[in-house]
Amino acid sequence: MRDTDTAATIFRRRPDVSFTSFGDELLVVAPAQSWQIVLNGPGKRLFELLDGERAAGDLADALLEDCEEPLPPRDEVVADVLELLGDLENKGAVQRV
Amino acid sequence: MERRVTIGDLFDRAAAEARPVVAQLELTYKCNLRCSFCYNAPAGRAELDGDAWLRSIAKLKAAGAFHVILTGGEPFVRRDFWKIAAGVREQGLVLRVYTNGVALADEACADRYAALAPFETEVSLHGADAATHDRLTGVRGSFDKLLAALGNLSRRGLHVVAKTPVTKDNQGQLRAIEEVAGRFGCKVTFDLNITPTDDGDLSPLALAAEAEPLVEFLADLAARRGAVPAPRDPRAAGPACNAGRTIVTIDPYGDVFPCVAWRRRLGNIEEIEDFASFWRTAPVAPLTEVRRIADELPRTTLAASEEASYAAFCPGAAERETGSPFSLGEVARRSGEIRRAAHRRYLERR
Repeated sequence: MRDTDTAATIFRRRPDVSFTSFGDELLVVAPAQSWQIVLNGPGKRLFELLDGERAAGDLADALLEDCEEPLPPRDEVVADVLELLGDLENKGAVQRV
Repeated sequence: MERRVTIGDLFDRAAAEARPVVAQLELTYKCNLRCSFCYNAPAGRAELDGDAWLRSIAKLKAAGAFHVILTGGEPFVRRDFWKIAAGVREQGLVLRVYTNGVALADEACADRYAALAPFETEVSLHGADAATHDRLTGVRGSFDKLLAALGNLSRRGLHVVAKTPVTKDNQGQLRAIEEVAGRFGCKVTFDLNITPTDDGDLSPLALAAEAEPLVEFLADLAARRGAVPAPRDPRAAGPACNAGRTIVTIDPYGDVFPCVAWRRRLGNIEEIEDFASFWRTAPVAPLTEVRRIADELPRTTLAASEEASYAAFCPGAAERETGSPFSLGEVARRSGEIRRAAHRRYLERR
């Protein structure tokens, strides 16, 4: 995650990435870094939502729709989204638009 | 605290559901090398054309395949290799390629290959010098081409694993082979078992390495890399292997096998309309048989002796060698003895 990242920052899945579902889990393979990881829960949902058009704030809103009351503060969810996307960027799975 | 789900967990789940996650496609048995221990057994029939391979890949994907391994023979000798490999990637699947590296010595070929974004490339490295490697491949200059390929792949940031079948000819060079691969950032996997050919010819077994150099090398490897050759845990759940469950192999003619090593023909991919249903319901006896055998092996053959518990055992190779997948066979028995001795030597030195 960069200091300049905001709720308006947009990411997309890198075109060389492959992914497949195993029930509640998603296996993501990023050949650029020869790396693979299992995502589940919000991480899986987030990765599936990445379409290169939704900004981090939109993604956070989509995740909040799945949450039960009491909802966490939106700013915290946006920060979590940006942190996960930054991690996935370092591993060659996503890129900034 | 909830345990993190690992990739191993996913593959265990896939095995339980009989999902063919890893599809190994033998695109051709043609090769530009003449390795003395090659296990391929060409049948002289017409190989599937590129369109048939693309149809097969789509069927495999529909059944849950995710990793597609293109191998041979030598896959790059097919002119339509690029069409097939691109088809794998266009379907969103993970591309892995097993090659002797000769084609990738060419810069333009390496560029084209890198553009496919393969996840892993496995090359065959048979010696630490040209004399040894070329003697085993039967083609002079193949070592130099392989080094050029390793350089090309390394400079393009591709992940490469070198694989070395250990033979009498290279048994004294294993550390040096690691060093050669290490110059290009590659790890080496050593295959102790030289196996019969796919049609049961036992002559390659005469090339198997002697025991003592392997014991010493494995003990040293355990100390350096932590790759300790421990025995199989008799309480471990699950089958002896995932042949016919998470693994499927298609030969150049479209014939379907449970694994590259277990040559029980299950049908032909061109004739199987719904491969997902075929794999899930296992409507043919050989498929149910290999699954049953793999389930039984841990409490039969592999539990019968200490050397069996240490063995690098493959039921398919055992069947080709002895006629029975339940027979340990000389190849696996020897590997068990070597691994057990290496384990003891490693423990003595700690």
